[in-house]
Amino acid sequence: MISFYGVSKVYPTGTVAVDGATFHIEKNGFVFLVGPSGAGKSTVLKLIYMEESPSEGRVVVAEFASDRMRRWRIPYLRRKMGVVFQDFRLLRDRTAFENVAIALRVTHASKKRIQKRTLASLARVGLVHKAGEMAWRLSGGEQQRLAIARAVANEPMVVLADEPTGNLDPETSHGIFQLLRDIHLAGTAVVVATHATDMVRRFTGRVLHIDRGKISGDL
Amino acid sequence: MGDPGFSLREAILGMRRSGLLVVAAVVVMSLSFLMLGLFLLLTVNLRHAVHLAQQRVEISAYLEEGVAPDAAEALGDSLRALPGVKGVEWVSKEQALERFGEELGSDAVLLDALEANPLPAAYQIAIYDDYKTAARVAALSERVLALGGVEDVDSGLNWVAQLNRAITVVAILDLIFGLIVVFATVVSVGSTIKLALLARRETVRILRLVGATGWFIRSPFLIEGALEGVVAAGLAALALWASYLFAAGFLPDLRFLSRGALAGFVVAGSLLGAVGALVSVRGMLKEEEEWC
Repeated sequence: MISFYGVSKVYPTGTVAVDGATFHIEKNGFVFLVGPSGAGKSTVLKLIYMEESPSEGRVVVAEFASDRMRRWRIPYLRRKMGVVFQDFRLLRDRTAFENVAIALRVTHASKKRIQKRTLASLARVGLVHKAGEMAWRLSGGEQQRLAIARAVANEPMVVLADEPTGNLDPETSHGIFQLLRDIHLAGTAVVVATHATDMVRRFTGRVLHIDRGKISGDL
Repeated sequence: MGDPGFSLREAILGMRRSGLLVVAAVVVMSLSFLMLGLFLLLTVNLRHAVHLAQQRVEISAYLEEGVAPDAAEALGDSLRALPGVKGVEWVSKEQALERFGEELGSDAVLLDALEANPLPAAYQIAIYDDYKTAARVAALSERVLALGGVEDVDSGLNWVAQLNRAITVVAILDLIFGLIVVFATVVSVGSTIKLALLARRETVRILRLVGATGWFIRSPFLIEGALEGVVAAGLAALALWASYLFAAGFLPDLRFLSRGALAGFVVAGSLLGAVGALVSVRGMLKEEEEWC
């Protein structure tokens, strides 16, 4: 479903973020992308949701290939995936409901579907009782769960999580990993970029190591 | 296009956030629309005045001193036979003096000081409407002047020609003010939209992340620009109406813009506002490629 063929990414500053990466992620895969800060984890995710295009090689995500990708098609790729960040990236001045609903609104879903899918997604992360709460009033853990609810609202083929527990305490982090694991068990591929190796040991999944742009491990 | 309800809510939210800047932009746009409106009003009224003046165009053929009554009568027949002539009216020297006295009103006593009547006898020549063009009146005047016994002709056409020249000048001013309105609207809306974009930078980033198309992201800003344009043009139309009512107190024959022109005014406001927003959004989003 996701394939990297000899992918390199060199930024204009000369930094080599990814260096000749070749790997595949299957449907229903649960993959940890592990490495120290600055190793290139975020760039790998950006290449998957096509915020960055490869300097060399080719990235293929479902029917979308980086070398044939037209800019106007990127939104349609992103509707098939959910992305979760360390800093949550929520609409702070909107309710929890609106934060999830926005992912459905952009697809021009009907009101009925927006209502149904939003509440189902909030229920999935245990936040349905906070649907009317402003995002900024939620705790860190709740905000990350809200971001996950938004990521799964469109029933994506893959959820990408970039250091999802970077700002959270260990107990809350465990809950977030558990949630991502549940999403995977329900049939969605999950890719987690993290340097929390202790968490990786607790959850079984395929592990890809990245260091200075070079990917190794269970390729 | 985006979700209309969502886009409208976002546009109103954006305007509330920008507050004073939106008010300032609307005021600048209103003033430029008002200037354009005033010149359009002037054009409409000048055109009307020219139309009325043309309706009243007649040729006066002034006779030479001492033309015999028979010759004068023969001249009248010749005038009637000319193409475009609807009818002729004889105005004797006495009648001419009498009319002049009426025009002078209370100053008519001055005429008592005259030893002799200096005014010539004349024929007032009424002409058909389709002959009331500058070229045709001039040609007819030439033919009248060529007839024996006619000393001079006057059609009042010079005055119409001057009004026509004034209309040309005002039409050029209309165009200049039209361009100023375009510029002022695009710049004013552009500045408010830039601020709105900066305030919603994070929202735009999130929208792109969840798969919003360019139009979905742009539409709230286009609606905001269009709303600002409509409000500005609407306010200018109200101010124009108030100016018209004030001026009509002194000039009762003054005309106002037609309903169609007023509607065009407001529609132009919304279109220009949307175009200003589009220019600004396109520029900003291109500059901020990292948002995508």
